[in-house]
Amino acid sequence: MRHPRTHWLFQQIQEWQAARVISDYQAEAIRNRYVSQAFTMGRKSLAAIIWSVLGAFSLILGVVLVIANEWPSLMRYTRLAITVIPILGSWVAMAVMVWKKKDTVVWRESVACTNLLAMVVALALVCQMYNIQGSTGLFFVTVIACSIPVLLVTRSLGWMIGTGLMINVALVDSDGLALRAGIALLATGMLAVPDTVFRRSNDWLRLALGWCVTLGFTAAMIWMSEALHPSAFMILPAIVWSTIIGLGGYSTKSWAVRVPMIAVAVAGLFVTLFLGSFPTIWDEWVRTSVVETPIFITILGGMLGLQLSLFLMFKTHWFRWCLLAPSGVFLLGMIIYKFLPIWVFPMVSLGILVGFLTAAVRYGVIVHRRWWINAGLVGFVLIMLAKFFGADLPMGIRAAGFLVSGGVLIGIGYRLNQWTWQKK
Amino acid sequence: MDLAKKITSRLRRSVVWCRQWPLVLVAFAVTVGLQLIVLTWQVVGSEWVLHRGVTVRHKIDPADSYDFFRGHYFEFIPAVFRHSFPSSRSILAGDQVVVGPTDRQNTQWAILATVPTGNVPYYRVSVKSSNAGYFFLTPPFRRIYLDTDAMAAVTKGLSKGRNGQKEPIYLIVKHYKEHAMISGLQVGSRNFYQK
Repeated sequence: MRHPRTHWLFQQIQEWQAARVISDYQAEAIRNRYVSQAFTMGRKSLAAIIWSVLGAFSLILGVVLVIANEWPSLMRYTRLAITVIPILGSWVAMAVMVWKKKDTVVWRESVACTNLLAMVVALALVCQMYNIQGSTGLFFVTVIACSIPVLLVTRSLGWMIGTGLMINVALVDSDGLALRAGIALLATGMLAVPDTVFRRSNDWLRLALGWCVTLGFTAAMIWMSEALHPSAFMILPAIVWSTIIGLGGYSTKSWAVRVPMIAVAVAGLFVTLFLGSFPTIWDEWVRTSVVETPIFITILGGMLGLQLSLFLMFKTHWFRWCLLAPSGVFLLGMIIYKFLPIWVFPMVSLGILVGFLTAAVRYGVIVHRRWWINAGLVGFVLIMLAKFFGADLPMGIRAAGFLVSGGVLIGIGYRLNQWTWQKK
Repeated sequence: MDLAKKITSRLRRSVVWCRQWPLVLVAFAVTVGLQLIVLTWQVVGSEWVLHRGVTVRHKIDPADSYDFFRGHYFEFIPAVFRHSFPSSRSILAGDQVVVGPTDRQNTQWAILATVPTGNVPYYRVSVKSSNAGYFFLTPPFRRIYLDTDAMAAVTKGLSKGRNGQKEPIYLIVKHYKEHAMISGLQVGSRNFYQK
């Protein structure tokens, strides 16, 4: 799809050509030039879609948190009604898919994954509401057993990965040899049946790779939930951020950019590992008393200085606002910190982190390096997830944050769609 | 010839439809049916016990806990399952025993020789371990989900009460024969029932 201005220009070229104002060769050259721009317009649309999807994701999480905030005060039957809404929605979507014979990948994957997640949510909330006792393993086995026919309807790869994740969790968490054996059998079935019978493909490598990634992810999750303090989930995005900055700095040709960026990455990793090694520090020391000590102020001040130096280096308004806004809030916080509630500090550090990631994405868009964009977006999603589960902010503030950031992200997506794409 | 081709094509499509479509429809129906049955079973079973059950109080001694999937929760074992019982008969780990009240007020609980009749509450629990004439039971309850007010009260009750001592915390359980459902919590004199 052409941009309206390009469309107008092409019409003009046609008229100029007819009036012999320009030669055929010149007309072709101009067309080629703007066709290449129209090609990059596709990327811009993709970026707009990604931001919009992230915005919608954030808005949904915000709504979930609002409901969660009010959850204890709701009557049991109201909670039950809210619980069944997602699963009812997934049944309706599946009925539409079956009835209208919408056999496209988008329909199949979205319907299967929605149903699986809706069943997890519904059963988990019912168990929580009635204090129904049982193991995590039994819970996931029940969910999978109820959802197996979905595979016949949808032949979804996302469903397979989702159930793979659940099976791995169930396998680790379950008690008793019989249950473990049953789960292992189920896992083998999951591995063997769908791809060979329903898809009739021999792409075992992809399946094995997906399985390994799922297993690795599950192992990491279990290890983290058992071995580390919950604050580790907040530290994880910081590792991603440090990696982005460090690799980005290393890949640039200018030493003036490379040195401060690697310094930021090392500082970030140091702080991360320091906090990760002594998790209680994060909860009891940093958040309560250290905010008043010179060491903490020096560390954050150093980060602020590096951020400002990066700010001065980048010429575009985007970078400047991404870095200046959280830095300004942080500076203000430093001055009046004694009068601020404790939740302001994680909020401001989150702002700085998001500022960096937004700058990384924008930088990737400008220099046409996809991995900057991808890494920035992955970091962004990780932060969103970490903050969703994180307990360092009150739930009401988290909900408001998700709703506002959802609006901002959708706004960015809309604005991206409006902008003229910068030429390479 | 064209007509023959058309008929053959239509027949082929009908065969394919007959082969594939009913399978998809059946799978869809089975999915909705299974999920509906499981959720309804859990909800109706729980509501039945909550409405028809006998109320029993168990003294508990909760321990604060946190994990990624469940968030903040209190893990506890009711005192009746926590203590070791002297064993007068040969009971091995894995055996099932019946634990029930020995008085009409359901306050004193012990191992029963037989399953009680009528609407008398009881637990059918397995033996966790057995050693030197004593055996330990596997508790049927391990956790309870609390709202903010109840959690604050429990935390306060755990540290100290009004008299500088820990407040007694009771688990309120609804019993319908051997089916049991946690319905609330009592910290000192305050009740936290699920709405």
